[in-house]
Order: sequence, then structure tokens, then C-alpha cells
Amino acid sequence: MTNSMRRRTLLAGAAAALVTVGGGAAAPRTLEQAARSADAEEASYAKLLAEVHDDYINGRVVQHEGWILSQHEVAMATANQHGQKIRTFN
Amino acid sequence: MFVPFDPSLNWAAYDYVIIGAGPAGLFLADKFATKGRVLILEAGSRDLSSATGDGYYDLEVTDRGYGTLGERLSTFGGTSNHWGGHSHPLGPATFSNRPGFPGWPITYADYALHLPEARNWLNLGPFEAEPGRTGVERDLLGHSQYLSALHFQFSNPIRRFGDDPTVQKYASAPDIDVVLDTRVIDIHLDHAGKTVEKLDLFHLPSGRTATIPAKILFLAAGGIENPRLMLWAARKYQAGNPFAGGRNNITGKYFMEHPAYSPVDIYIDARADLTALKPHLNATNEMVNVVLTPSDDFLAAHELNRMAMHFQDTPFPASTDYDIQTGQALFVSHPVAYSRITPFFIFEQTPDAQSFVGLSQKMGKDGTPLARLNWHLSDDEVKRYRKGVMLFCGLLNQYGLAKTRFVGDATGPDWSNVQFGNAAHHMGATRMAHDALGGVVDSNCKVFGLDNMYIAGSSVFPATDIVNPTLNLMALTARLANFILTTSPDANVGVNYRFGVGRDANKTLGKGWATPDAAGVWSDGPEATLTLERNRATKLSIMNSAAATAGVKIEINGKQVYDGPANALSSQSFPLDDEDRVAMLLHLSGPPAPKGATGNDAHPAAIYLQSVILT
Repeated sequence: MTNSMRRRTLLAGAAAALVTVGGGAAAPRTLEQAARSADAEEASYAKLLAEVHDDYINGRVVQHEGWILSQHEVAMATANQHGQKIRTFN
Repeated sequence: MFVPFDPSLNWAAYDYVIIGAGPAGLFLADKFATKGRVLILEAGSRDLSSATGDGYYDLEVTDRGYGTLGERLSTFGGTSNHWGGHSHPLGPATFSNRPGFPGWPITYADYALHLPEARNWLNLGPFEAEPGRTGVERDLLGHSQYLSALHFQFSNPIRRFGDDPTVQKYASAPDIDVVLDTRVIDIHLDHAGKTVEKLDLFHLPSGRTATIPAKILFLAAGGIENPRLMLWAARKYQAGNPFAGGRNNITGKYFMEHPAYSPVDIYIDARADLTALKPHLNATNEMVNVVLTPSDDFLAAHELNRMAMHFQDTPFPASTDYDIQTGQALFVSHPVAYSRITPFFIFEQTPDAQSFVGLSQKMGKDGTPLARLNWHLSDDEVKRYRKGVMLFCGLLNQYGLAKTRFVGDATGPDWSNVQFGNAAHHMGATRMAHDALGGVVDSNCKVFGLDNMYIAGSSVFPATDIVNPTLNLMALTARLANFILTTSPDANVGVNYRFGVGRDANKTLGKGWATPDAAGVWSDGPEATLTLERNRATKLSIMNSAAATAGVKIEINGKQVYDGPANALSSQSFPLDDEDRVAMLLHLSGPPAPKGATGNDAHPAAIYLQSVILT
């Protein structure tokens, strides 16, 4: 396991993460979103990661377009269809 | 010796009659050879090429599709001649009552006591999980309490009982006669219906027949042939007879396989160390294969069948794969690049009376019906498999290091028409139970209602776990043989001293032993002693486990008989002198325990004594 993997693994279940805003340059950002602080975004994302993790270990797992995903991931994907951005984590 | 079929042979001279020269039958013969004359009846020959055809492989298959050709080998050495060597003990949870599973009438400790002897026969070293977690285990499971890894060992070399050394061994065994190309075509009871009295034989090459007596009969012909022969013999007697499996006609029912399926592709972070996915050598130079499984707690909480995931191919880069590119848009988190594997899953089949071995309407050349195999997986069963795969893959996904995707027929929500593979593991159709209402044989593999017939092999498994049967059926066979040798009235020689909580054998322990636990007792110091009654026995064998670093010198009645590694003791036996009492002294040595060591490694200068068998 590389150091970056170990750090990411730990962060996935913790309250902080290295977050980049993805979804492509064309991803729309609302004024309200832009006004949010980076810390708030990180906390929000960490919370989402924790919820996804919680889904997986508690069996809240669904099939979506063939993929086996957590309920929160599917909810996110569904929301994305209505124009919200996707957050990526590299 | 190999003896030609001859109707005028002195068949009454045999004390033990064994049907089948597969792993179980040959093991039984070897165990009994010092106590009396043994006859092995083998339907095949010593020539593997003759194992095909002759109706033995012909099965009538109904319900689920089932591959039949080439799974069973009708030859000396039986199916071991193409055994893959995949070995892992049954898990303790397999023996307990679970929803849908009857549990075993024996405890895990009762079974595990005989594992060392089985391992020895199969060229397997002591079973110990490798220390620590490596590669993908560490990356994927490092923080998970819900996933665990099973380390399967392979016999090294893989034991093939039809090989030249084994053939030579039995060819020169003075108390074992092997009659080849000879099928048992019927079994007859006495007038009271309580005792097997005689067998009808059919010599396939010549077409000649014979009827022979049987003092004690062991049916060890394989997981499909055992119930087939029982059902055929049952036709002559009234309903509910022992061959039929008693009042509930259990014989043939509850046939189980290990359903196998590859429903998903798994995309794993390309930076993960996946080297441990490949079979590799362990510290004792045995091949090891890592298999992942949900924890017992997770399975119970979600009412899932036991299941395991085998990595069957080498991961390859998949970062440009179209599927993963489109799939990334769905993930909360994902790495830059992936490797992809397509594993297969093995499931523990729930016992189901609709899954059975029966008799076909088609007759074989020997005048008996072929087996009919009705391998049945209910819709609810298949739904549980699908649910299990989804939840299991969720566990793999939990840290974001892996993503899984259904492929092929598995993509649909209904798996009822999915074609499951099978593992050539034929189990359960003469199952073991507490009483005749629930099974065919009792906890000692003795057929309910009969006083001289026993069944050996995986057909007695009432539940199968997700591990391969050979090692485990051999452990049960060792248990059966030791039971016969130590308890049968006509074999009133020797004693089986078993140690553990509440067992009388603890009274034989002298100084240097710790408090017994469920399955044995640890030595506790550099010297340990015990004193046993010989009971006319001539040989002493020890069943134990120990850290690989522990050494032991053993004296019996003042004479040193062993000086070597303690974990190799179970493959030894020692001659006894004429003294009525056997005084054993064990000198133990080894390095200090490493910090944090568990299991045998926590006792590197000790031995865990499970039983001492005098025969």
C-alpha cells in the first residue's frame, strides 16, 4: 500500500479529506456554493464519505446501472442528473 | 495385495469389508490392517483409462444443469487421482444450528481432533494462517471487522492415491486384499433386519457374480454412489428400512454442492498490492491460496449463506476500460486507475430435500439403476446468493478502494435462471444426524438401525461450509476408524485418550500441563508427563498441534522414541513394550513467544495435546 493510499483510506472514514472539485470545468457552481468556505466543503464531503461507508457496512447496497453502490452514491448520481456537481477524489 | 476376482475365494476370512478404494476406503483399510483382514472392493481398475464409460459416469440429471463427465473417477485411488489439493478445515460455525441448517451432531472439537491425522495422510503441513496480512488482504481488509481471509493450503505434492507408491504399498500389504473391477450390486440384511449379512458382487470384465459375507461393512464409494447403492438395497425391505434412511426416507435427500458463479467484475485501485491474490508458498513451502469471506457475525446479521470469493485470474490494468470510465461518474470517490479481476464465488448450499440423489429408470451394465441427480436450488436460495454478493461487494467497496459491477446474466435482478457451476463436491445425501428422523448415520457414521454398517465420505456432511471436502471427509474417516478401533467389541485392544474439558483422560496427565480447554490441553513448562494404561496395544500415536519452532523429545518407559519438531508428531507412531503402563515424558524446547503472537505461535515451547491413541 502506498502512503497516499493509506492516507486516503484513513481519511475516508475520518472527518477530513483531500478534496478537489471535479466534474469538469463546465460543472456549474451556484453563488451559494461559491460562498461556502473550503472547510465547510471538506466537512460536507467527509460526512458524505462516512455515510457511504456506513451504507456499505450496514448492507444498504443497491444495484445502479450494473454497479453495486451505496444508497448515498445512488442518491448522489440521481441528483447529478439534475445538474448538481460530482465531487471526485484523487 | 491385489487379488483377482474369484467366486470361490475365502470371503469369510475378512474382518472388515470396504466398498471403494478412494481416499476414505484406503485410509480405513490402512487403519484396520493391524487388527484383522481387510477386503476392499473397487468398481474400477488400476488403469485410469478404464475409468471412463461402463455406466458409472452416466447420470440422469434433472432440475439444475450439472456437469457429470470426469468428476468421479472409478479407479484405484478414486477421485483423488485428479484432486486439486485445495484444503481448509471446516469452520466452527458450520457445526452449529443456523437458520435452515441442522447443524452437526458432533462438535467442532470432536471433528478437529482428527484433523492432524487427515493432514498427515494428505501430505498437508499443520494448518496455520500466515502471520499478518499481506498485499490485497491488508489493503482491502486492514480496517474491516466484517471481512476475513481464508488461507487454503495445497498438499505438497498433491496426494494421488492411484500413484505408484500407493499402489505398491497396498500391493504388498499382507492384511489388505483389493479386488478390482468388482461392483457391489446389492446388500442384504439378516432376518431381523438389523445386521448386514451379505453382499452381491458383479465382476464387470467377466460378468461373473458372487455373494459374500460381511462382518463389518464400510460404504466409501463416493458422495453419489453411497446413496445410490443404499437406495437400491432398500427396495427389498419394508418402508422406513435403514437403507432408505428410516421413517423419513432421508437417504439421497439433501444433496449439496458448492454452487459457483462469477457475477461481478471488481475494479481495484491500481496502486494496491495485489500480489497476494496469486497462490504463493508459505513458510513451510506449501502453496497457499487466499480466499475472502464475510465474517460470521455479518452473515448472521443479514441471514446470508456462507460464501467465499476466489480470485481466479491475474488483475490487469483497466483504467481505460469504458465501463469504469462511465462508472466513475457514479462514485463518491475513486482512484486514478484501476486493475480489474473477475473472481468466482462459492456458496454454502442450504440443505433442501428437493435436492437429491435418486434412482434412474435407466439400468447400467451391472443390472442396477444409474443414479439420478436432482440438484435443486430454490428461488429463495438463489435470492440469498444474490443478496450475499451485493452485500459482500459492499464490504469490498467500503473504503473506496474497490468498485464492483455485475456482469452477464447476473446484471438482472432475477437469478432464478442463472446457470451456476458446480465444484464436483458431492455432499449430504446420507447425512449425519442426532437421530434416525433427521439423518442416515449417527455421530459415529454408523447407519441408524444397523449394527455393522458405516458410511465414510462427504455424503455424511449435514452442512458443508464453503471449503473443499477432501481434507474434512478424511478427518471424519479418521474419527470413524478410531472409533471402531477403540470401541468395537471385536477390537477390544487399545485406548483412545482424548483430552479437554470434562474428559476422563485428563486424569492421566502428570506434571507440566495447563488447565484443559474444549479440545485439548497445553503443556506448561519444559517437562510434561502422563501415564496411560496400555490395554494390550502395540502402538502409540499422538494427535497434537504445536508452533513450528517447538521441539520435543519423548521418552516412553524410559526409552527415547522421538527427538524432533513438535508439529510433526501427528505423523508418527511409536511401538510399545510389554509393560501394562505407558509412562511418557516430554522434554519441550523453543524460543520465547514473539510479542503479540496468537494461536500456536503464542506457545513456541509447548505442545497442545488433543489425544493419545493406543492401538
